[in-house]
Amino acid sequence: MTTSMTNERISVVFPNYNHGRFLEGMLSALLTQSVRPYEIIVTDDGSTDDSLTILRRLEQEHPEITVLVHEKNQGAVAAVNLAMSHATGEFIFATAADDTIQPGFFEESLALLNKHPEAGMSYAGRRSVTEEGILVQPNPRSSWTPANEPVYIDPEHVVRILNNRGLFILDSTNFYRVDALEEFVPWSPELGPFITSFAAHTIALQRGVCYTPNVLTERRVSSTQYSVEAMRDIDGALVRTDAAINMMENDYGHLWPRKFVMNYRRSEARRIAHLLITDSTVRQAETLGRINALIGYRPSLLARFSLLMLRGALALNNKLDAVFLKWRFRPTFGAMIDRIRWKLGRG
Amino acid sequence: MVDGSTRQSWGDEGEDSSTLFSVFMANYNHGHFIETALTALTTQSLPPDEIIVVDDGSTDDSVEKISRLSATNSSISLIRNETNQGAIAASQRAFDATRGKYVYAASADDWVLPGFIEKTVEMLENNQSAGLCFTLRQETDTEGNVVLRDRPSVRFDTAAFFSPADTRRILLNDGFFIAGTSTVYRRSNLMHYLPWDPELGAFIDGFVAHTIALESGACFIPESLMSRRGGGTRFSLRGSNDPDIVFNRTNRAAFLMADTYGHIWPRGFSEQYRNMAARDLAMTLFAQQKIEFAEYRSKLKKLNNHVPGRLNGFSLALLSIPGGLATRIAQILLLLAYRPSMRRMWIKLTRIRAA
Repeated sequence: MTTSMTNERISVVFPNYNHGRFLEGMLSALLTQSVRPYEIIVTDDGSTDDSLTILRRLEQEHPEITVLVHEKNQGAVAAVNLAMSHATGEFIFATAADDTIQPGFFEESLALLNKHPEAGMSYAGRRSVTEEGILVQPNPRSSWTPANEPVYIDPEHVVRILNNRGLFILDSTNFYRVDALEEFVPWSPELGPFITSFAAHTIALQRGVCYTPNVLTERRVSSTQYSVEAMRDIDGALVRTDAAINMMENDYGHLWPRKFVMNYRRSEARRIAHLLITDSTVRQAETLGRINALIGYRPSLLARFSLLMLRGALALNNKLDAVFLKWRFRPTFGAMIDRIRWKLGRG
Repeated sequence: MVDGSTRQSWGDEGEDSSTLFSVFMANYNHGHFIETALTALTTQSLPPDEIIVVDDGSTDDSVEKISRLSATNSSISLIRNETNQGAIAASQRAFDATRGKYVYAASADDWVLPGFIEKTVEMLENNQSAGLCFTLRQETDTEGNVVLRDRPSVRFDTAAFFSPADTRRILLNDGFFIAGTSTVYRRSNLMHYLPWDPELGAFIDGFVAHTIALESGACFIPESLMSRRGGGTRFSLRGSNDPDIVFNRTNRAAFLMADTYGHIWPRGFSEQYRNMAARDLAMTLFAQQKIEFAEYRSKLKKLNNHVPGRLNGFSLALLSIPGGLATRIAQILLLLAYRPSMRRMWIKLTRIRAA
């Protein structure tokens, strides 16, 4: 392990679009790691803020940093593909400009992969903070972890987790062995942002995955970020779901468990339905708030009553929709039984 | 805005007897429209003596385009604001440079149709007491097709002069009826109400036009002599649905109607006006709510169809009933809450019956 240390070159790649305010924090977190990355390749995706100035300055100061530029914004997938095409390391850490990592991330990830040469990648615990840096309380449902100490999860176990828990590898913590990642590069744009998760799970199904429960990465979430694309462009989201299912059933059909794929469409629909209902509730609240302000200016009992009724009816409607769609997109009967057995420890 | 009692001090200041017709215009980033607007003015049968354009710190190619036109046509002059100061300030600056007996506040994204100046000037010359002359307007889409003509709320099919008493009656029966963007003012009348009151916001020209008409009378030409650019979605300006903005404007105008110009405006009209503003805003907000609800339902429907299943589309359609029904009922109740005066409702009813 010690002899090969010098040959373990880590390439960090990430796209940046108008995240100028986060860049210094991100790059200093990368450069102060106990195991320093060999190269950091950033594609500036046509930012309109001061990103490029900051990047150019940091590029001067640190020889590890390479800045590539898209004159026009071409989207995160194209930007990260350009960065990955320049990467020369044996390990690739693909991240985002507004995320950051904790001290020891590279050291621990490398140690795990060296200990388990068969594993294709490793991932770590993650926490979420808001734009202002306030810690977001984790959702108990999504904070499930496969183990309480660093482990190697073999492909068979990956299948079991996928069947019973669903997707589990956390985005933006993925530390790949380059030979495992190769066949997915460049990212195909048809899966949209799901491509990272798809590649990670497929690698895990091929070669197994290492995991450390230590919280070594930090993801930034903004209140407006929650998969805006699914709400604005539902057709696109549905096409991407179909494309992902097509890949799981055909190209990688020998790897992806059939049970999981059967339920994937429903679980995606459940997720999108939840987003749609949340979005609609927010927008309704905005309009109702405006009507309320209007009545404040021009008080009228009748108007108040009409608003009250509307508010009630829309709330009822949202509730009915949520209940109906949750039932409609429920997991298959077999999957529900499996999940109960898994929870009781007999999976 | 100057208080009515101090109007004497303004007099006919700034009028130059050799200048008949002045156009003043504020432009901010309307570079792709401004040539149409300026050419439509200079090619009139009676071209304006001066066209004063204040460019309000545009960041597009407006200045180049205006300069090019002003080089070939001496009536166009360009004044530049280095920084953006807002439409009302820019418009005021442009007005201050005019000298004409008649003035027209053109907007950079609209244009006048042939005969606008000749016909309005003729009306104003023939009716010396009239404070302004207004025409109907039309709206064109991006291809230049006429999509909408002003519905003449004023039932005259020939050019007419409305005395202050006529104006009062029309206002009480039909509400506002003069469009500020197609109005030519007599300078001596407009001077009383300048500088523009910025608190009136988008209602500024409508308010001033109606006040002048109530005070001195107005000429009306029942022809579409001005064209507006339509095509944008009705709800593109979410800011204009903001009750704070709308009601700051409304409160200011209602105060002016009841107090400062209380001797000109009909008694009690300011309350009607507040109701009218509330009704308009409520209807806009409801229309928006309706569109958003429909959009949301159609997305759910798409999602629902994506996962195979029987009878589920039907159940989803059933689920939209309470929300849809409640929106409709609430809209009717709000209309009732902010209903127009009995007089206007009665007039509307008799007109419907007559038709």
